[in-house]
Parts: sequence; C-alpha cells; structure tokens
Amino acid sequence: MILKYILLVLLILVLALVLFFMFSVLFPAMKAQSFPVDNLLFSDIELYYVIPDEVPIVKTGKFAVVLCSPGKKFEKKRLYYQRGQTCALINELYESLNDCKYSCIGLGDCENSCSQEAIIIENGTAVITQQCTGCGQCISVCPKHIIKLFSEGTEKCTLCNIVDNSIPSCSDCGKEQNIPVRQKKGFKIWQLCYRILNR
Amino acid sequence: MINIFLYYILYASVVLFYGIGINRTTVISRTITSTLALNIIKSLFSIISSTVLTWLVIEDLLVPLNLTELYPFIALLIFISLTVFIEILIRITTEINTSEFAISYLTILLSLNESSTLIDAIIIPLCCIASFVLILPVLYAVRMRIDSTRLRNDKTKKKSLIMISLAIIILITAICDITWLNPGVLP
Repeated sequence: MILKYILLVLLILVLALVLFFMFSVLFPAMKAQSFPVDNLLFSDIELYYVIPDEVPIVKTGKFAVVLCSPGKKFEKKRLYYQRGQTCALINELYESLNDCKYSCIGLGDCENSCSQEAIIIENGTAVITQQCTGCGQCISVCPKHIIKLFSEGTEKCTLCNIVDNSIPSCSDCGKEQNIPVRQKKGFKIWQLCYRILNR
Repeated sequence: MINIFLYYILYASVVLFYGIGINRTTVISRTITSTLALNIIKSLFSIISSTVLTWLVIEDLLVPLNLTELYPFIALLIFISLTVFIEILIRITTEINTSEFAISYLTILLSLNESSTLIDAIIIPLCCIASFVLILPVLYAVRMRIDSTRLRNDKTKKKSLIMISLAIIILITAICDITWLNPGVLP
C-alpha cells in the first residue's frame, strides 16, 4: 500500500517535472531558434472563443475627474442607498440622495460604462483610478454632468460642481483640493476571469 | 465489439449526443482542408495513448488506494505531456499548427468513464473520433445546401439553420431502438 502511494506521488512528480521542463526550458530554447512554439496546447478557435480580446488602451493625454469630493460628509441625508437603482433613475425621481443636488449619486452608472474598469465607488462617490485613459465614455453617462476631463499633470481643482448659490450641509463644499489618485487593486487573473464572465 | 462501435459512432455520437466539439465541427465544416488529416491523426494518437496510460494508472494505483477521484487530474497531466510533445514534433517537422485541447480532453474523460476493460479504453476514443470525422461531411453538405438556396450576403440565419439541421440529425438517431446493442438482449 505504501509503495503504491510512493509510486503515485512519483508519477505525479515526474509528470510535473516533464511539464516544467517543456514549458520553462524546451520552449524558450526553441523560441530562441525561431521555431513556432506559440499556443501548443490550445487551438486558435479555442483561444478566440474562450478568452476574449483585451480592450486596447489608447492614452489621450487626459484623465477624468469627478467633481465631488470622496471625503465629503453630510449633516443631512435625504435618502439611503437603494440597491439595484441607477443614478439616472434616482436623478429623475429624487434629484439626489444627499442634501446637495449637485453631488455624486454614487450608484455606479459611470462605473458600469467604463471599458477600462477605472472607476470605483468610495464613500458613495465615484472616484477615477489611475487606469483612466481619458476616453470620456463616463461623461455622457453621468446624469449630474459632474465628470470633467483634465490634462495630465493637473494636481488640484475644486471638487465641487455647485453653480448656484445653494448652501448644502456638505463638509467639502466649494473647496479646492488635491485630485484623488487611487490605484485600483486587483490581480491579472481576476481581470481575465471578469473578462470571460462579462463576455 | 460491433455493438460498442455502432453505439459510439451513431447513437451516442460524441458530437451529437454528448455535444463535445459541436462548435468546432460547425467551424471546421466550413472549409475542410488537407491539414485536417494531420489533426485527426495527432488527436487519435494522443487521445488513445493518454486514455490507455491513464486507465493503467487508475487500475494499478488509484483504485487500490481509493483515490479514483483524482483521475481527471492524472488524465490532464498525462494528456498535456503527451499532446505537447507530439505537437512539438509536428511543428518541428511540418510547421503545421494542430494544437487542440477541449475535444481531446473531454473524449479522454468520456472514454475513461465508460470503459470497463482496456480494450474498451482503446475502442471508445477510436469510435468517438470516427463519429467526429463522420459528422463533418454531413455538416459540410448541410452548409452547402443552405448556401445554394439562400442569398449570398444573407448570413443572419445561417448558424440557426445549421443548428436546426443538427437537431434533426440528433432526433433521427435518437428515435432508433438500440436495445439490441445491449449484449444481454441477443441471447
């Protein structure tokens, strides 16, 4: 019995070593001698159908900023977050969830529209991460029209879009602040999984 | 042996009954090229050798150790080692891309699941590949028939028509009485 266990482990080890040798020693050596060794396991049809193409990144020299501070605090809150609602619907029905009718609703319409998945929701406010390419897809989606494009290198701006004389109970109302720079966390393998699931 | 052959070629065809490679057949049937023969030979060799090796490992190691749940993993390791090795040989000698994973691996699993002896483990994958090859001319004919009766630029319903044709073929094979294939019925 023990001998059979040892044999099984040895078999798995030998197979793993063979695979390791092929993928890390043999293929690079063959590639160096210009042999076509791409996609040795999967056919082109399988790769095309299973793994969709990555969205190409075209930098425009600009980046989007949501003109609403993610660190804001309200003394009054009109409504509470309702799961499944959209910013467009809330804007149409109630104008805003908060005391300020110009503030970000934070239900993620822009997040869903972003092909680079560069928008995250933080404290009920959309925040653009470093993955933003400045394509501007989110601008037209935002019902509050508070997403604007800035040139790269801009560090400060007024993270507030109030255009009239209303005085909401927002702690960051009308303040000039550093533009929040967020690094979106995530492993490449999960990004690939999401691409496959969202196909 | 003839009952296994008939069963896996016609009534339980790997494409029609199990759906393995149904997408691939519809794609390949568009243009049947000369490299298809090489593809089939390579698949045949890698599938049969992987099935036999895995079957032996299962019989001699996994069954005595009560670890039969590990068989897909062992099959995967053996299959990848063999198929990549054969693929390298083909690439070096002919520079033709014959790589393929899903159909071969699923056929191996099917053969391992449904074989009771080593001979079965050789015949079943053989029949599976034969059924895969046999469906190609049929689908090619269906495709040509659809093309000849419809407008050249109207591609919208082509896939649907091919799938409906496949469904009809499946129905035709499924309505046959196959109880006589059971060895116990004949005596």
